[in-house]
Amino acid sequence: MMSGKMILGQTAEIPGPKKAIILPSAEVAATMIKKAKRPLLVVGSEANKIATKDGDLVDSAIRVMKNRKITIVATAHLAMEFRKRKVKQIFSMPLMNLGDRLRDPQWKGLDGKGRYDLAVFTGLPYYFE
Amino acid sequence: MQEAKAIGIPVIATSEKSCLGLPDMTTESVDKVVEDLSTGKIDGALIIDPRKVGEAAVKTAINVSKRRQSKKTFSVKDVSKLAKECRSCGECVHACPNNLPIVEAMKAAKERDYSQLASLYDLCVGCARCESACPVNLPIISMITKADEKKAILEKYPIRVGRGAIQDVEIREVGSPIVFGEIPGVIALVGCANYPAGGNDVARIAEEFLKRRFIVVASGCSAMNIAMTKDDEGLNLYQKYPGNFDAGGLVNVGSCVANSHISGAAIKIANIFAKRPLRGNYEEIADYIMNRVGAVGVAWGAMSQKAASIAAGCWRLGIPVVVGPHGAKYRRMLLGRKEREEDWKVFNARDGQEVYIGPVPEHLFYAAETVEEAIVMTSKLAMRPNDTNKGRAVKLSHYIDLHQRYFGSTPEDLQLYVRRLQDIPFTMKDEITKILQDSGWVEDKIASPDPTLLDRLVRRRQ
Repeated sequence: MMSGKMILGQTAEIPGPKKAIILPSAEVAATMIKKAKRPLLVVGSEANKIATKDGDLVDSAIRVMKNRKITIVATAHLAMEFRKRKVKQIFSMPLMNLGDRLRDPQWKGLDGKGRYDLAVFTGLPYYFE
Repeated sequence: MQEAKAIGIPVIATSEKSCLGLPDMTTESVDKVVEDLSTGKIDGALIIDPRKVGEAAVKTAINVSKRRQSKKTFSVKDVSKLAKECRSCGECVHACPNNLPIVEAMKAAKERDYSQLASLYDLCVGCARCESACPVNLPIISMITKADEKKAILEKYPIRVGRGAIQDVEIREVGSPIVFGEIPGVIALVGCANYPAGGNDVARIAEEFLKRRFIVVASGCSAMNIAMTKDDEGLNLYQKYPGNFDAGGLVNVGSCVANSHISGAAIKIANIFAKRPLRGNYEEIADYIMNRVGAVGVAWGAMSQKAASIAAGCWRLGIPVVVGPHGAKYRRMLLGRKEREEDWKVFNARDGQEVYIGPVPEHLFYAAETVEEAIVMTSKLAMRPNDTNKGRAVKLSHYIDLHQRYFGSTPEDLQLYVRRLQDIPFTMKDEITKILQDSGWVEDKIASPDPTLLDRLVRRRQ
């Protein structure tokens, strides 16, 4: 997680890195996103295999995109799915590159407007936690 | 030991470091050991003398052959019975490194539909963590194997023999086109069989680069999985591509211990082609490989510490390594930041000037999330500062083409890899030139030096 307060999660298998926090419910995520000033939603490669009320997680991400309240970035080759669904402008960055930049206080974000204060990860293979 | 005992196979341990608690029978006569193992008096024995092991193993195998024929494991019908004991608790799925849908397969097996269990056969890495986690001790791997028994029995695949070191004469043939980038790269498929979605992905990566006239080298599990993947006509890649170390060739160097022959080939290019001395000269060899030899390692099934150390053996020589998603568990990557110009400078050995060469190669150790991402990244990591215009154009054409195919767009970082107009692939000239103009690209901002990271290799200073 990006916020200093949230670095209370599990440690990873080796000392040093911290794992992200797994949220217990969508409501908690919604509250956190509402409170955040510059949130980022990271949509992983499994998104087109996860069913939602919109169809799948890519469809849901496209709906959320329209609100313009959260920046969305697709990892791996998922940008292809967005393009197939007529979304012309989608941020795309490999997960490793993104993780490397999220931990950098100097990074200006995907749009060059500054750091994110919250990163929500979804649709990733579970072993990336 | 438990598995062997269940199917009536005596075990001979040959190292005291892994003797499984078996009695040491090294000093006993071979006949005595064979008798005890054959009659079932003991389940196994530790024998440290390799000559005795050879004799005892063969004689025991002949003796127990009849007894083993009467030993049956469960039948296909028993799979259904066993599946009915499943509580659908999901502990197996939680333990599975690949998150395989075991619970759903068990539900189907209860109704005598074994197809879902059978479909797990190719995806399962055989780690048995599911069996350890199962509260009712179901033999899950045996059930999967039984469900796909016909396939397991018919598993026979032709493989090109592991051939060992790349010969000096071969290096002389390909050294120049590799160093100048006209052979677009050497792709080494290595690593363990812990694939995220089956071994077919390794063959898919291999074929993508073979078709593009890269040299593809394979070892160990990857070499085997390439053999185990057949096309619609029943042919594997060994039957479709030649085995020489040249453009479009598929070389099986041997077991994973033979990975040293792959890094050895890169070292030989520096030594034989460029005449860099080997002894006590690691720094210079690694500098040469990093800046000139477009080799990339792909460990799609990265798993063991051994695989990680093999990868380390490559990237410390300047050969980037892409690992599969499980590689993220290493918690150690060597990632470059392509947008930081100050990170991508080398000395020009011709005049001693420090120059910007673009992010080539961008990373040295990188975990890809999907096979598509791995393919595109691998093609990009094959670029080197020493590429000629023609070589860079060839490499860029593959990178752009693969990116368009798998990401549905032209790469957004293209301007970081085009040094001058001659680098642009001829067939893409109009499209790429327009993209470069829009991005504010300036010709020759990225230099084409005689690249080195070692100040002492500068020949003349201005």
